[in-house]
Amino acid sequence: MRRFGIIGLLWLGLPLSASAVDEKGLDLEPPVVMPKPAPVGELFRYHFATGSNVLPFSMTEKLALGGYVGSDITQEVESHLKGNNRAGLYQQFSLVIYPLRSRFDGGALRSSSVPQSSVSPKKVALNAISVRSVQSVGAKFSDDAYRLVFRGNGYYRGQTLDVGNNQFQVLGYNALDFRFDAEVKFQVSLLQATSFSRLQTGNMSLFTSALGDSLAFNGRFYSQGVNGNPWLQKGMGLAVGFDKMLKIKGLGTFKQAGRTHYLYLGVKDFGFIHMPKVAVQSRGYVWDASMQGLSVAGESSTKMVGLKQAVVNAKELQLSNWFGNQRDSAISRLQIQEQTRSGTVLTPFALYADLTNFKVKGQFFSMNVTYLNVPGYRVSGRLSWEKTWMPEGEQKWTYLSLSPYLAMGGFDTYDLGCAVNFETPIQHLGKTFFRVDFRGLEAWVMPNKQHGAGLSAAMIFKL
Amino acid sequence: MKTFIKFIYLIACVVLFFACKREPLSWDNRVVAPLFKTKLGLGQIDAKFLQKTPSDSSYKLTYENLVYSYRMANVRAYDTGLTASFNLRKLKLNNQTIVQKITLGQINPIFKLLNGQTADIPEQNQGNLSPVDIDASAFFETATLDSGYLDISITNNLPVKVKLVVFELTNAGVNSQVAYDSFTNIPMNGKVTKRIDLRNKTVTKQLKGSIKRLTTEASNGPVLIDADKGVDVELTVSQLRPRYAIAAFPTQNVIEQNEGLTVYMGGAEVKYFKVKAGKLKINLVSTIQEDMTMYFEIPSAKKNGVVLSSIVKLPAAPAGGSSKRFEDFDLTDYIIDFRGKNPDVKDTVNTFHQILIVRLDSSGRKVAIGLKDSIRLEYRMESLVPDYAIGYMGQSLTQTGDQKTPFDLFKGLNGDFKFKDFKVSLVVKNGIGADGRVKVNSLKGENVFTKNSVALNATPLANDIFITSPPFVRDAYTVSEVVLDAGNSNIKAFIENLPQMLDYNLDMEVNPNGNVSLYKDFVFDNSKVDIVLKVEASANFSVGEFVLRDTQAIDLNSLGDVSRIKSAKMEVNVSNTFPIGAKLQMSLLDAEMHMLTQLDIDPSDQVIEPAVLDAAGYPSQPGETFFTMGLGKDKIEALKKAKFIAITTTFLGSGQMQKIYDVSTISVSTVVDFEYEVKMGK
Repeated sequence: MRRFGIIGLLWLGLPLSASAVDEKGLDLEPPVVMPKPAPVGELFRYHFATGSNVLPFSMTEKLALGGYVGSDITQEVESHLKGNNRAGLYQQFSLVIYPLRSRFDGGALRSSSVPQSSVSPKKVALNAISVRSVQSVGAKFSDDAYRLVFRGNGYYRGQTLDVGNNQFQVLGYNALDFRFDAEVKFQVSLLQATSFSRLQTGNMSLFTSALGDSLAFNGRFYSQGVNGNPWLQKGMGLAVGFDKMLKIKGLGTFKQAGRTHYLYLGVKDFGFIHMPKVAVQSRGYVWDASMQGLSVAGESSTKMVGLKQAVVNAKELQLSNWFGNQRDSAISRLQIQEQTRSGTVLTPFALYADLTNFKVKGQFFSMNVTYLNVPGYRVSGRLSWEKTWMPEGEQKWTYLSLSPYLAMGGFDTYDLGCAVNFETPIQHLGKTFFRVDFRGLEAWVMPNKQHGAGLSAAMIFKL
Repeated sequence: MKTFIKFIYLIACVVLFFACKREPLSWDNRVVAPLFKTKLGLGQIDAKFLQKTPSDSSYKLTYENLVYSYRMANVRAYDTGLTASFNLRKLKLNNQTIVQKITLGQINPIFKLLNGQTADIPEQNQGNLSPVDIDASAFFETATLDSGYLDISITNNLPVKVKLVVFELTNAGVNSQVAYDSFTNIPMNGKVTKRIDLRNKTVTKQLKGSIKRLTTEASNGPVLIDADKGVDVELTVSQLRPRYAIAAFPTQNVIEQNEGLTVYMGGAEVKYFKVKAGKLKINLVSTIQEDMTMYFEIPSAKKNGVVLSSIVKLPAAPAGGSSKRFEDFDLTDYIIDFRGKNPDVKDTVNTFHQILIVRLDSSGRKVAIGLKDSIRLEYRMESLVPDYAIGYMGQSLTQTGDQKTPFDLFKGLNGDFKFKDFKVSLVVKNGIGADGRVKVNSLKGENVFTKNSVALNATPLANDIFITSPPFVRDAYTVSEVVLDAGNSNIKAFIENLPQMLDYNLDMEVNPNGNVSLYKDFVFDNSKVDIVLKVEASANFSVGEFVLRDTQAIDLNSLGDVSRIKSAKMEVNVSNTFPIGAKLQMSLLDAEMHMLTQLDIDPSDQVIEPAVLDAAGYPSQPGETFFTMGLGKDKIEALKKAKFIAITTTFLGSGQMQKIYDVSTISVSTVVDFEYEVKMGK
């Protein structure tokens, strides 16, 4: 139910807000299919995308939604590891809080053909204010890191697990967005961190003897986090975003007809979050003595730490403190350095380019390229085919389009998806646009076999 | 408006959806880690229990189990001291004398005119002469007297005989009468004294002396008239005991003692006593506004040849207040002679010689002292604990009645166990410096597993066991041993019942024949009589199958959060060079000792293999065993509630007699393998 509960608009597939709208209105050249009626303002949108090149959707969806992953699944994944493994999650929910009320206060309804913004390009006007919550998780890990974390050394006696170099990050924040109209539509966001964890390893290994009577560990690692801090002390930041629409004439078969293509370029959430108190535990890394900055300053040598059976006599055996002493002794030999630092992290910003209204052999296509600044995310490219229907006669709906697509990259390897756009007039709201996008249909159908899936939903109307 | 409300409702649902708490991401992780290794051998057991037999490196077991222990409870010095309180009635003032002259000129002013002339002096009869001031400040400022005397002496320096002098002495100012008396027929140059009782009288420093009547004879012819001569009034105060006085008190001893002080010793008659711990407490409280000095000495108490003595100073009390001094003297290591003040004259017991003097140190100042003023002295010996005491400890009979005591040799053991040869003795160890006797009325051994009791029937125990005094050396003791064997008792059946509890009833008497040592009994602070059941056996026994049970407390808190453990097992490698094997059974118990579950041992019938023995029964190769014991997923809940673990070891022998050699050990090494649930995020 959770997966299928929301109807909306895919954020990553479309530019920022009302600026995506063709300000001039409809294309008047028949029988050209009218370009998508540009949404003029969103009420809310929800976006969820997760993926991996090795982990099945049944595992990665639990990164966002929580839950238990059974040993049968973790065992099955081990046979499909690829050496350089990736996984990630991006989840966002936004809700407009201004000027929502204007729709219901008896103010004049605006025609959808009238550009929502009649601001002179030379002036800057506040378009909308919204609140947003973002969660991002990204991981790059080795095969043996997977084995150690998801299986445990109990399955690898007599072997060395070369955990190697790995990276894992969780970053979540709330945002208060101010959207402005100007020559270029832009957005300024105030950010407040809700969660941050980062783990990195270097040249890590764990040997377990065949009898299990000795362990040997070496390697570097550090972990950082703010989860122990009070809510308001986790971090604050600032981000900006903008998007611009460019008209390009004559690509493909449109060239001779002088058709117009639309190229949307944009940046979303480009900024930073400053965290004043980050708890850091590390081994084998050198840090700046000023206690500022979350990046390592260098590496130090590390020694192998062994753990063998504690030699106890009969009397000590009855006491339980030998166990604690053994554990404490092993931990102290690891020489883990603990400190509190302050620093700044980049937000998981997105860069995108969206080319629409591209006709080949009589069919309309669009292309999208997106990059998301989350570990494990590769540049994603998508090719969509668009089929549009307009109502015949008087209907309660005014527009319906279907956009199946093929996507490559992202957190995943490939995805098949389909977006559905639907527009209908609603009393007091005017023309209201709904969009839902199922990304990774193959993973929704076969969650234990396929990797990566996503869900987006939005509802847009004139604010 | 309706549409707006619908939208708000929709938004609220959406927000609530995202506000819902999600369960954390979790998965199972399996961990293998080394645990512990240990080696157990009989050499680790205290040598007083197990001694090696040099001839063949086997062991001999010697086990002593305390049945009953007796200490002398009656030798202690009860707190003793004296309390004295002294008030004004015990103080005294100095005897003092003042002289006041009453001249001829004062008697009759006419004689002043005739001063130096020779003339006849006619008979005189004068009355109510002017009073003369008498300064008695040398006595005191003022004093109200409980008792005392004023001697008034009249000396006649007149050239005529005084036939009558009526003399009155009053306090100036208040005009109260102190004395009134007549003196008759005082010859020339003669002196007459009258004693006045000053009981209940108040005397001030300013007095007035008045001659109420003076009658003289006529002179025999002309005499030289010297107006400056007359009668001398001499006032002497003595034996003054003031009820209240403002006076300069002379230096005087207010307390003076030199005597023996008897201490109650709970029935013992002690001649000498060395103190292990104890104090002499002196509390001195005074309201008298003069310094005090207390000197005490206990000639009976010596430490390194030095007698206990000290001087304690107490400063003068402030007006209306009190002066206090509290002193503690540590009596540790003092040897106190309790034979009395002068043992050469009278040699007694429980009595020590003490000297105590409290002296008022006069400053010469006049200070006020009344009946409410006092000097209170508390002088006590407290908490005296003897290091040792010498004397006669008295005669005492202790009857235990029916009592129980554990017998730990077979604690937790039950089954078929036979020693090849063994020796059992009832041993009485006497560390008290007095003769005594022990009578064992009954002794039973109880096996708590089979509920079987075997009463010990032994001919030697039908009579008293007499014990003698050890030498006067700390921790020395005499041993009286009664050997029990098959010829004089049923000790074999008693021991092979494998008792865990002993039921006994015995009598213990000190000095059954009275003071035969003539006060040469002694007792140290740790002296006691121990009655012990002693078992000696060579480590050569036959074992069929016998069970050792043990319950140990376990604290799993040191392991961390056990609630996420899904299954756990311990892999055990055993290398055994003992000649017997064993089977293990372990159960987890809750805080009330109720069984929660049994640990799964795999293989379930696994036996810890015994060593391979050569023809002589000597271990030549260890028996190697591997097994696991743990809790599967269905039983792991029990781990969270477990507070105790019950271990049942069933030893499996061949039934043949076997010796244990010093090379026999059992080595155990363990590894833990457990599965737990990892949780990430909240």
